[in-house]
Amino acid sequence: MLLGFTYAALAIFAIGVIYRGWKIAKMPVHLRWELAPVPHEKGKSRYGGSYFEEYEWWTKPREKSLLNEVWYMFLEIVFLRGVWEHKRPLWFFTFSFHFGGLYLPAASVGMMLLSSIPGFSLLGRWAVSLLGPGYLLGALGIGGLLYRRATDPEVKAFGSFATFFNLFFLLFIYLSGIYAMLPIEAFAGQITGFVKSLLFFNLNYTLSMPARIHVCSACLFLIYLPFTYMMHFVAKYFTYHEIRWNDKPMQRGSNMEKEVQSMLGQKVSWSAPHIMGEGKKTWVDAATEDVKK
Amino acid sequence: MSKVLRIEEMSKDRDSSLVELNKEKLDPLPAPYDTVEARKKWKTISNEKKEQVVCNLDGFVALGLPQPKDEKEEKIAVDKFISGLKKLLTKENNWSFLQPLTLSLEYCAKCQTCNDACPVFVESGRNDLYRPT
Repeated sequence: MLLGFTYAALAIFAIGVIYRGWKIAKMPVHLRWELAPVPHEKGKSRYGGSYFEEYEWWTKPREKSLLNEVWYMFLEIVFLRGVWEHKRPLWFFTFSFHFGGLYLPAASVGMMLLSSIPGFSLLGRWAVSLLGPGYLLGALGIGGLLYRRATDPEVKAFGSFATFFNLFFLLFIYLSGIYAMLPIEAFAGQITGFVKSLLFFNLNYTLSMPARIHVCSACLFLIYLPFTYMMHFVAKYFTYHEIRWNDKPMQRGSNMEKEVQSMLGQKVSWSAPHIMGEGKKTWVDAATEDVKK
Repeated sequence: MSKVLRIEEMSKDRDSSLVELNKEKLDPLPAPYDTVEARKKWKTISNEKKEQVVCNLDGFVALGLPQPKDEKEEKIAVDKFISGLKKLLTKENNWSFLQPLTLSLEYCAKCQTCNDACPVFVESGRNDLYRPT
């Protein structure tokens, strides 16, 4: 039954993430705000520059740096660069939670899966050695974030029931994981066996009751996650790549031009006196007509 | 940092401003406007004018919204505001800003990391009324 529940949780998680990501990707093109720096601007990103600075830029090929962009993403995703630069008092705890509580367990599960490949069984033992420190760091991070949410006046006023519920939920997962890992030798064999059972649809596995509770709580979290703002791990891809960094110019005949033209042909229902759209005027109509005084 | 404001405070005391802006507390501007004396004097709104236009957020008039005369007019104004908010979330009325707005509304974790990126918030002396979240 636990195996079936885990499959269901993984399926709901995958469908939820894909659906919400698709919804964001399907949103119409937006009008760019010239936000800087753009990391892929070769030689210019360090001062927030742009290809627009080039004389007759439209006659020259764009020079981009993928390496710069990937490096920026690495620092942001792994080390939470934005928080380090703009909200440093929060950085230690949020880094502990993200790196320890999310990335290490994810790497651990990945290694357990790989350990199923003949010749790679050693990865299974190493995988569990990541899980313990991960859960400890995760619990430390969550504890610190709870403390900050409860005491820092700048964040305290913006904590909702959902904020605290999510933090306590995660704390429960980490603490149940730490408890389930004792003794660690038994846990290592059990959890690696369970992950392999998932991979090969094998009902022949053993999990202690604390480990079952831990796995159940993690599965419930996976089911819940796609419906919350914790989906920011997907949303951030679009926030960075579409909104902050998509500086592609609109060229004649391009897909972007076609999409913008299509959007401009939509009817607006704004009813303010200077628009009076009422569902009859298009964006082009509203922008090109004289405003009656 | 100024007093922490809650959204429900906007509907409480309408006879006085939600926040009082003070030139001395604003972030200094570059020279030669880096002294309080060098900044232009702010016009204060007369009591008569306050009864005609809405200015009870910070004592300034930005949009020239008329003060509702009675509960019926107030309800019309509130309904229009809510209708406008809903339109902002449709592609027909707001395709040009829909993706940035939706991403902010749905995925903001309220961590306050973006505060320093907002020049209005920073220049106001970190006045809570202008907090981006």
